[in-house]
Amino acid sequence: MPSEMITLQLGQCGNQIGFEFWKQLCIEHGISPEGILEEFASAGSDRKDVFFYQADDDHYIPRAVLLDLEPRVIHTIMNSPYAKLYNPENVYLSKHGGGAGNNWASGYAQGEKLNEEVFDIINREADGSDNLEGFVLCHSIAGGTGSGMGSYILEHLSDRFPKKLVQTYSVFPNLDEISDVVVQPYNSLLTLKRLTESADCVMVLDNTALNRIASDRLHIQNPSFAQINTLVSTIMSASTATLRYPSYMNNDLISLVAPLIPTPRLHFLMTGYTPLTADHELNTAPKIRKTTVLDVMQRLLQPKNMMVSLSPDRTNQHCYISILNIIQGEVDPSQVHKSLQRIRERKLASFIPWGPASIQVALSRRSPYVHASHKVSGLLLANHTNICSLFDRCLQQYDKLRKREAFLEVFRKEPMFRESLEEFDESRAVVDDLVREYQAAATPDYVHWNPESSQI
Amino acid sequence: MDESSSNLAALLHKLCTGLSSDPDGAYELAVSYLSSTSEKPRSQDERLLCQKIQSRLTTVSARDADKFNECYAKLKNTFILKQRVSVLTLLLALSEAPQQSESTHQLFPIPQLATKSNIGLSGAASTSSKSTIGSVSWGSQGAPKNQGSNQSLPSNNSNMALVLQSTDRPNDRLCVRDAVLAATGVKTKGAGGGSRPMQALYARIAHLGFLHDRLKEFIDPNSGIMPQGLMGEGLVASIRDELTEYYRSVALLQSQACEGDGGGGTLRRVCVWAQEPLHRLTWLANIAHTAHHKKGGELASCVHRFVRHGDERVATLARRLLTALTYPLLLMLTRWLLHGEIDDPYNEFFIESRSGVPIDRMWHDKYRVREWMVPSFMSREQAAQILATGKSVVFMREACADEPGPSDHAHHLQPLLKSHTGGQSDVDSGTGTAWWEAEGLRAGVALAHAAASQRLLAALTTHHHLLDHLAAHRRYLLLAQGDFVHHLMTLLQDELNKPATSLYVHNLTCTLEAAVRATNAQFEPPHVLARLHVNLYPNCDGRDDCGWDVFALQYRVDGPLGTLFPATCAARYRALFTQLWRVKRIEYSLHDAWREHTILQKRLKYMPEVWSLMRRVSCLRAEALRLCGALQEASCVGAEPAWAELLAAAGERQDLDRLLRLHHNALERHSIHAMIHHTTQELQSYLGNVLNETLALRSFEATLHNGINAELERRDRIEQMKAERVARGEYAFTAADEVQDKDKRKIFLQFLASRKADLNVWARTYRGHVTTLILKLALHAELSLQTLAFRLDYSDFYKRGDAKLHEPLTYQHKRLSEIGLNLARSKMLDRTKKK
Repeated sequence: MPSEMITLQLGQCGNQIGFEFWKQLCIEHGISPEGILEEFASAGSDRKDVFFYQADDDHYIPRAVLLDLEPRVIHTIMNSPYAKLYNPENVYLSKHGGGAGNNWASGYAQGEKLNEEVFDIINREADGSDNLEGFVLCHSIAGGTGSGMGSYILEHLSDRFPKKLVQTYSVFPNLDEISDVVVQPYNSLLTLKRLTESADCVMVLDNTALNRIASDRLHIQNPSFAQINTLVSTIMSASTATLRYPSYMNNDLISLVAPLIPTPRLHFLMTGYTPLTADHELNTAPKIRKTTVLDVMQRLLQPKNMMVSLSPDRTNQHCYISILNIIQGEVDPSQVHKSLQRIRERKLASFIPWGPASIQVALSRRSPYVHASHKVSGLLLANHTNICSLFDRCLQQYDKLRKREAFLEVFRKEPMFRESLEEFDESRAVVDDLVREYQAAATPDYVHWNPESSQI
Repeated sequence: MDESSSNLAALLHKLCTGLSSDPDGAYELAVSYLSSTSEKPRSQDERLLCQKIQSRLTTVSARDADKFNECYAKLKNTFILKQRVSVLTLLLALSEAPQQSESTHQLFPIPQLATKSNIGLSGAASTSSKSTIGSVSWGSQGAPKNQGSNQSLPSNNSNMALVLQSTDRPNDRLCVRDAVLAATGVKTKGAGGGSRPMQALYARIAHLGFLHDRLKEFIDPNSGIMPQGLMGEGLVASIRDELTEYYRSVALLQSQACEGDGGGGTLRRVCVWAQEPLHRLTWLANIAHTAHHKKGGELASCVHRFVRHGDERVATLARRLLTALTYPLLLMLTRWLLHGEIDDPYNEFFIESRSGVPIDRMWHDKYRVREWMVPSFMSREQAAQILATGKSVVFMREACADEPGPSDHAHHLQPLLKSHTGGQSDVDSGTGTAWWEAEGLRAGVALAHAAASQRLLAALTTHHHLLDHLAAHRRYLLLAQGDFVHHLMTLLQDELNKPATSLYVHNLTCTLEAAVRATNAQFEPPHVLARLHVNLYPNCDGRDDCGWDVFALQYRVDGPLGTLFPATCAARYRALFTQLWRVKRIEYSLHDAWREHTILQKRLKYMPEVWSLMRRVSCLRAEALRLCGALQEASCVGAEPAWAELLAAAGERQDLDRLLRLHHNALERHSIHAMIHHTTQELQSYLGNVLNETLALRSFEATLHNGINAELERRDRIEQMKAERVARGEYAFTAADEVQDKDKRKIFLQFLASRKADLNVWARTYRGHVTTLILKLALHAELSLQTLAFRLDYSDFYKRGDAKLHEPLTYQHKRLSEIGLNLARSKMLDRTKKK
């Protein structure tokens, strides 16, 4: 089966969201936790093979590689009903099991050390696919394993599989609360550099926004990881819907992301989803409201439904570079056009001045095995210039810490930083360039923009 | 008779002139009354008469008898009335008269002129007419009139038999005979003599003769105006029946009018008799006149016009004729509906069959409705249903090799069948209605049609997998099976880049099979996959095509399904495939370029001189990619409702004609959105320009990437060389090397500069084409294409760049101005309402 995607789950966060993602895919494709096709599921309407392959006994195995340096999360997965789903050979747990101590440098170094073993798994998985489209990397950019080891893998994936796309679902730390990981800004900055230079498409999942959505929109007081991760898995499953349910368009990852990403570095996409329902609401008092295409498309443009918290755009000059709406459910195609008109009349979205832009709409099928409480649901994938405010915040936090030379000892322990802290400066420069490129993208002469000239 | 009597006659005449508007008639009547009394034997006893009257009255009521006694006593005491006996006789006679003239259903009034044995004869005549006339159908309202006409002849009583003691009596009798002869069209010499009123009467009767002759001519095979065909024969036969009845009536008249010396009637009486026949023959002649040279359904329509006549008598007459003449039609109709056979030697049926039509065109071309032969009591829609029902039967038999039991939809035709087995008796008894006006006809035909088409669709769906094939056309020829199309393109890419002449179908077939195996297409049932083929369609204009230009997928349908997917349809699918495949391929190549760029980008860290150019290319590529996306969205999603309707209709097993229409409609929608419709020819060329430019961008990028890659490799080599030299302890970089490197870099910069110039030219051309396309789309009459224009320039980017796209022409403006117009209109309306 062509256009397969291999999922790499790294670290605590990566494995948790990956776990939720597979759970969701199993439900949507009618696959039991043991990987056996349920009786009610039939072949032909969906493409399970993009994310799964079939073992000799026909049971479905996710094309997933689970990597972690500490055993906790992976053990949880292996003790869940889904334990038998995964290929045990693809679950890699560092032997010493000490983790990366939330240290990017440690994660990176261990990634380097374990590189052979890890890439053996990845190579084997890649060989098992017919026409591999690319990789999906799930990780957090703040911790140690996901960010450090993730960075190492990112750098080397593009070396080893230059023609394959690398898409990441990167969880950005919650900036609203004080993190127990003090070196978080360092980790984030170092990872951001790799995301900028080695990934082809980054789906930004901002913990700040996810928590806000959970408490404001879903009315969960203290959202648990599992609840947050359900949000993430909803996003992940919706954004892969067009790959899994073939139709006229957007049947492979590149056709999904290429129109969204006009120049290679502007590849940080934000997501939005509506309507959201939490499990506890479903059980107690499900709020059924009328959903229409217009309603969904308008809501998707509201910041409160966005999975990224952006600083308010004070100068009011930021704009959308591109938008793709994946609409699922019972949709009358003529409604789409009406909604687009309404959105333009009300000027709900402003677009780049240097090229044509529009809201692309992909109508996708929904899983027949999942009962949807809403007639229409929608996912937004957008490239917005204001995403640079998120990176800018990372830079600011880094600068604060760096100015004080705080917590640098843990990094100096690792070989990469033993000699110098050049890597930090270099990363900062890369992220700073990225911020400025995004800012430039909001101006009319982006096409002729020159990074050197604006530096002065 | 002496002087006093002639005096009396003169006085009587004077009286009549004074009292009546028709003095002659009144006089005649008066004379007949008076003369009858004069002839009356006076021996009749007055008392006997009274007893007779009394006994008669007592049978009805005793009070009446008492009253009569009272009155009679008064009468006897008065001296005004001298001739009591005569008066009483008259009264008795009058009281008896109505009882004897019973109402009779008959075609033509039975002549009852004046004969002594009239009472008996009249009874015999009426019964005989009843028993012998086969197709009498006077309505209930016809009867009283008829009766009235009989009543107006007060000559039943033998006592009052007409004996006109006029001097010209022989002449008069001759005249009556002539008139009676004239009524059958026989010319007599000496006709037309007599007084002017006589002549007028004679002329009226003689008109019957004229009408008779015309009818006679109409039914005469030698005349050349007799309608042809079976239905014509039906009409002729029933007109002949009418004439036969007429002859019978005339014969009776003749026998009465000319019987002996004492009997016979006057011209006036004959004239009274002639009223009915005249009416009937007039309308028969009218009907016959309009039916000249007509046949079949046309003839039926012609007669049917008279059924709608306001005069009930005419309507009844026409109805009877129509029932008779449509009998062959009913036979043909039932045969067609039940067995799909046409037995129509005279081409009268409203469905015709053409020979030499191949089986796959059977449904479309073999049968058709002869519009002018559809009887007017049948709607166009009904005719179409009948056509489709019979076609379904034929189709099932011929194409599906599955003979349906005729009982399948036959029970819906019960009303029809019933009337065609026992219809005649129904009509006779007056209770049933003729088949062509029966309520059940419409409903029955509709139900039979529904049943037959349901059955046909069921056969097509279950045995011939209609739904599968419809879906497969959409999936494979219209690229809805995205994963398959994408993979096929990936596999074929290298092959199709070669010139068309070096391609072989069998190689491509292998690739097709590989693509099927690897994608969801593998789950298609075998009868679908067996029909999916690749084909090469070289252009005839001798251009050097590459593989992309000639390649097409083909979906072969044969057998009964060929009906739904005829060759013309296949051609449309091919045109659509070519266009959609082209856009898809361009999009695919842009994706390739995007991928190449992302790979290359990772190596460009130390080559800032290309960044700006690369960014520009990349942005333009994104622009082109967006256009491809919008085009596909429009061309595929735009036709979605039409497809949904078609598939739903097929799922519900609606009739084949509807499916064909919906299928056609879906293809139309697709063609319009793909801009290959005949109404979008202009757009097609503009779109072609845009797509060609997009392909040019792709090759431009390939050149650029190659140049950059070469430069990158050169620099890598230098670095490698430097490292090697350093390792050997030599100078890393000699002056000569440096000069060479500088040159090379200069060349590279020149390369970049010229590329940049190229790109600027390209961008101008491309945007020009896109602007034109948007402009033309916005101006197109088709709403969905205006929509596309709106979506292509959603952020008004092109509008900002080109004055042509400003307000008055764009879709947005149109829409707003429409809103404005509507507002203005509604305001106007409000104002007028207020006024």
